[in-house]
Amino acid sequence: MTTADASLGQSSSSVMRSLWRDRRIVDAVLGVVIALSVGLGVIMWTARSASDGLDTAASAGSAIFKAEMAALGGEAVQNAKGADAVGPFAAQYKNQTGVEALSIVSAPDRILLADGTGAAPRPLGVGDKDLYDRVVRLAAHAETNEIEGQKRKPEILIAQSDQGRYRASAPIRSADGDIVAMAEVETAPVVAGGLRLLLWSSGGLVFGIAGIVFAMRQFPGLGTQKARAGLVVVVSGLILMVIALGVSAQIAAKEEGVLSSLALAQENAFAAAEAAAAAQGVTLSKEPSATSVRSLQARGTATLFRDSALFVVAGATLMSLFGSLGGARRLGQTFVAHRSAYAYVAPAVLGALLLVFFPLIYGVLMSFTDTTLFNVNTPIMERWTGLSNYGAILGDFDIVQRTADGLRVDYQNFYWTVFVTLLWTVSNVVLGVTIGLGLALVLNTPGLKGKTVYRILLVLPWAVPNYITALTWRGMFHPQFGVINQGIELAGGERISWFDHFGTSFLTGLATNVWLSFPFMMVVSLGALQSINRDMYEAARLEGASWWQQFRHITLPSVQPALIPSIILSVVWTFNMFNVIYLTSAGEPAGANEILITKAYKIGFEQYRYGYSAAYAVIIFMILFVYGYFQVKATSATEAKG
Amino acid sequence: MAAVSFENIVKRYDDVTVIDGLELSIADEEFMVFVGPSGCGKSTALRMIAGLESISAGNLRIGDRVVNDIAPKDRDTAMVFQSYALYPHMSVGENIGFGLKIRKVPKPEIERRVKDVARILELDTLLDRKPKALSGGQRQRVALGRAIVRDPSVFLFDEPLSNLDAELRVAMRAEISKLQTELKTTMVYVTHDQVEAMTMGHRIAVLAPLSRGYKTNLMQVGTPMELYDEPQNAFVAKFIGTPHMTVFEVTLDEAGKFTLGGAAISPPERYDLGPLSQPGSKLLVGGRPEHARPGGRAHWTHTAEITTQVRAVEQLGHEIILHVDAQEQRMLGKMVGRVNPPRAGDDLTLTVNLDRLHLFDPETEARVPYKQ
Amino acid sequence: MFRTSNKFILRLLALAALVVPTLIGCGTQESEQEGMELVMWHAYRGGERAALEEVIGSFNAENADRGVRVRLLAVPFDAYADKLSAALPQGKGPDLFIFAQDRLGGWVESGKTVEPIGFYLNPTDHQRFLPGMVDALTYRGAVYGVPLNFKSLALIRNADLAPTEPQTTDELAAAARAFMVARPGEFGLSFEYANPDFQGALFNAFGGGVVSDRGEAILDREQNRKAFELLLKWRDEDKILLPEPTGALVLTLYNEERTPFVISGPWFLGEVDPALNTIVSPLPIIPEADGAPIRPWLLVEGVFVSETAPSSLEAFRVAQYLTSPEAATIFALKGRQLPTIKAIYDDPRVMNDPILSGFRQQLESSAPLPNIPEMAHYWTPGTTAMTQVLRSGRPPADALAEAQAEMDRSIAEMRRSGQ
Repeated sequence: MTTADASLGQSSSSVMRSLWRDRRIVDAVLGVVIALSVGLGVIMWTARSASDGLDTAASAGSAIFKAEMAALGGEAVQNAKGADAVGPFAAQYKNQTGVEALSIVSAPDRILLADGTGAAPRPLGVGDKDLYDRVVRLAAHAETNEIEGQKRKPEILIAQSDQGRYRASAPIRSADGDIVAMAEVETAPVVAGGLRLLLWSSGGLVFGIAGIVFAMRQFPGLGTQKARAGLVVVVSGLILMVIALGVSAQIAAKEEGVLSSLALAQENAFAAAEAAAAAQGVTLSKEPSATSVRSLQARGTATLFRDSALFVVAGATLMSLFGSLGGARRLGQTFVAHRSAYAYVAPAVLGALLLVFFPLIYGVLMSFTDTTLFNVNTPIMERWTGLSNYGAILGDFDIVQRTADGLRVDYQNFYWTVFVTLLWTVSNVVLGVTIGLGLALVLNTPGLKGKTVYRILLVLPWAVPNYITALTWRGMFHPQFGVINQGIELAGGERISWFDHFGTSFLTGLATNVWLSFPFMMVVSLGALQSINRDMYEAARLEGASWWQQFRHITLPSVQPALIPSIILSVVWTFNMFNVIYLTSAGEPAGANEILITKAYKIGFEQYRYGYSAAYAVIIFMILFVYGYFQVKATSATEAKG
Repeated sequence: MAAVSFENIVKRYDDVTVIDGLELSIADEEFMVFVGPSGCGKSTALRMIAGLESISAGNLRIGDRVVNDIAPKDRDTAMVFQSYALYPHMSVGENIGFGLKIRKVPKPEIERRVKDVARILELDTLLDRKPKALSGGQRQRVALGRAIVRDPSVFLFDEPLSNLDAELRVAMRAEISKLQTELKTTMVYVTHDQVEAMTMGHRIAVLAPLSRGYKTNLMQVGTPMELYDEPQNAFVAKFIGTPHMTVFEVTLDEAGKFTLGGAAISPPERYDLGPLSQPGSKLLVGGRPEHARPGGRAHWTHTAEITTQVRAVEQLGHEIILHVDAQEQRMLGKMVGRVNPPRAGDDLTLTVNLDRLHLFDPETEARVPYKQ
Repeated sequence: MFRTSNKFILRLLALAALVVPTLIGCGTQESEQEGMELVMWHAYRGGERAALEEVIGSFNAENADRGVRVRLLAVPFDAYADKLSAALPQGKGPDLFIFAQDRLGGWVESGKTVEPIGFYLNPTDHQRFLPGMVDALTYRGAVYGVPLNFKSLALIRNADLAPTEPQTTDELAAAARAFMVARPGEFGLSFEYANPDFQGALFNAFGGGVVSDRGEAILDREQNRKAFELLLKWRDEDKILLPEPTGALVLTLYNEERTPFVISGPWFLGEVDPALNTIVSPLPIIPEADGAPIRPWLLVEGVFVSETAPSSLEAFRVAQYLTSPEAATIFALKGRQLPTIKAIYDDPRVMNDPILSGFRQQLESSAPLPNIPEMAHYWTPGTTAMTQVLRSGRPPADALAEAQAEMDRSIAEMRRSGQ
């Protein structure tokens, strides 16, 4: 009681100052602010988009019903009374329904049957191309749906024009059932009611902060970390929950309104069409049909919103811990204390974000979708398939099949490709290190004449761009005209069809890549060898060690700290060595000799299955990441020995 | 245990001859020190014993065997390197036992011997450490242990203490000497520091680089005091002794005397000058600082007094070294005790002990022979 | 610290002051020019490019008073298709471009790429073109391009080495073998038979094919199997085929007069030695296929209009101009291409040219390459099947069955994902 009186007596600025100095309160307030701003921000944004979605559904639905009924009536009138009657029908229909524009077009004879003014039919002019194209498109969609046996393409076109109007185009069928004409309307957009979002969110924020401060000052016992975190979680969780449910209720109400207004619109449109047709002496026999399916785009919006909102509430509440446990405050202090350092680093961080992190995250996101060439432009949520790509890749265990001519390996299988990749990596690194180290030992002989010349020559393979090397080797392995087979023949052997079998095809890539990679290992080993103290070898010689023993006990351990990081690098590079495999053997025969990265490329850019390929790439990344992590730990490779 | 002898050994690298006509015998159980300035071939000679350098001509014997073409590991020698040459990835125990392991000595035997050696060298608590976790002195002892455990016939040391600080060096010198006495093995020790040579060796071999125009590398071999008191040539005279002996050239006048610091001095009687006694001949005269003192010493018989000017005074605590100019000749003198030292620029009369003057032939640099 | 940060900001501002105007300046070129400039992409080189530039030059000259001009941009062929697919939907692509029909279905399905121009074509326009040309550029009832020229495989032979035109494949094999007897070590018939583009010719002859009109894969058919068997017969029994053929190898051998018969298209002739006596004739008929001729796939190159073009009518007018008789003459004689309009083939300069007339005759027995998106799913499994049959000796029926299964699967996936 007394503390409260005392605090009321002080000026507000000194109150604020004393609050600021109390770290526990600052942390708690930060926690609440973080949770509420994130949570309320996401909820309000989702609510806004849900509301807009309902508005769109209302407008589009209204337009669609009007177009549909215009098509229905127009078709009936034309069949009964001929083309000239369509104009007046359309004019009256337009007046009654209040649409802003109405056209009825026939495609094969290129005639505008009605433009809503009641005028006689006229041929299409140059400016009517869009109308014609839309009729053709409706026909195309219907054909596609019929071929594929599914309703993949919309059978009534809906679009929003620049002025915000909604344009719906409904098909008119001929006697044979082909789509030959179209009725199109433009309507003004419908706003189905607003939501009071700003009031709720700002109120929630203020209430939350005030409540926390009040509670912390009244109950000092809440100053401990656990209590503080708990208090913040409870307060922010409660506030967010209340607001989420409240907004959810508003959206549900709006949804109801939209659905009922659409039902009404459908009835009114039919009534108008009936009336306009009757004025031409035609009775409409058909009932409006299953186009009410369209309105279902609105149904379920509220439920979806509520579910996602609760999810957001949980997440945001958890985020409050970052603030209430002091993390936010410390981060802020760091930024302020080192602001010039952050300023210098900022451009590089920005560059890394744009060039590295953004594509990486985009790729990871895409791996959870089934993006292909055809649906790149659709909204991402529609392409979402979760982990199904990963399941398809990792769950395919049919590596070997039993067929009529014995066992056959399915070369497109992921695990086969993993096997080839591992075999490829291991054999290349082992050979590259052995040859590189061996050559370095030779080059390191004291008193070797012409050492510089040898070094330059031996580094040349590394200097040549590796795709040129790969193509050259491919030429050399040509069964007919390649130099290797000709050499074999000269030596009395038989030509080998290198690319016909997995084993020989693998060897072509191996030869090429070892040729490419040994210079790097040689240079690294040479550098390490030259830094070894000669005395150790002399001491070992005196002690009676043979050349091999000296190598094992002195050379290898001394070269190890330089070799191990190089080997890790080489493993990663070889694992992803796209050029050699793709250009030398191109995965022959029939994809048997592919490694993971070439397979991912083929899936992505020859089969255009971007989502699947992205999942492949993420799997490659995870494999290498795990390998690198354990390799560095196991060898403590970054520490020098002695 | 074996004797080592160099018989007319020559060592050439391409066109450069580093060692020529080296004749030297090292007795069994002797501690022989090779000393000399850089380039004199002392390390090369040592490495030839080990077999790490080939021999261009001549014979090298260990014991009675000619070992010119025998592989290093079969010569039964062990070497301690200047850089210790320890195997960095092996522990101390493994380092010491490595030679035994190579020779396939049974494991329990290796363990026993390693433990013994470690105890002697006070390394028993460090057996599991890696060299990078040891201090310089500890590493040197591991290198020693590695050599000792092999129980070789000849120990070879290639400037082992050069990398240690002064205090440690003094301690290690004593340890190595003690070790030699205990183990009673032939040791050949190379150093450039003549203080080490004087204090450690039974005998010292002073070597000089051929590039200075000498016909052979070996200048003199003998006990430390022999080298100190009776240097056979000017090189040894100037090399041995701290501070060094002053050697300068003089010309004999018509009276057969030479002038020094205003005094006319006759060459000491005991020298048989031969043709060099003629007036006008040149001679090299050498004298140690302790034989030139102000006021001389009571037991000196033949003396001369020379006038000098003091250039610098080095106060060493127990004695004072005087840098003086006698006419144009710079030389060194000594004062002992707590007397008031002269100051730079003072005139000072020094008494020189003529019985301890050394005379050398200016052409050959060899000491003028004594009268029989 | 305070002073440094001031300086830092000032320097940043100075830098910005230099950079920003340049960026702004880059974006507003258009406002300086009157009228309309249409950007047109193509992937032509050499003679074809020269012909196109000449025709467009005339167009620009004739339309200068209207303020309409066309600016050409040559794009290297390798990346051409991908560049189009990537740039057009973003609005960064050309207003017009020349391309064959093979990607049309895919582009229409993914949207925002090509604009239908069927509206501008009237019946007389249709009549101008050879039969099948406009259909090749029609997808689901809408015409998207104005056909410019066509190409297909045909039989190219060195008349000095092989004076008679073979009418049947038996005659062809015999002539090839005769050549190989006279010149041991050389090969009689050289073409990239491992390339799936070439495989279609045989499939079609036997009545098989790759996809139906409704987009179903029809690989696993008896007729396709027979096609493979004929090829294997040529390779293993008659032994007339060049092993491991690549385009470069075929060209080299032909130019060195080491092979008399080549199966390839007009692109091949661009690099053939003009000194050789080259004659083009239609591919022979296959007795085993009940006398049906080899039916290579017909590629029709059309002028397409992008959805983002400022005026589709003006763009269409350019396309019309390119298919006028005057332009066609230039394309035929200078570019050595085969125009799609009927009128050009009455010109004696064209009809007497042994190369142009040969390809024109081949048209009678070629089949249009399907332009539906399902076709794109053929190439990878098709190549795999061919490799298995040719290299690993797998029975054709099995290889085709597996390729069919693969196509079915990926087509189903494509359709599912488009929802």
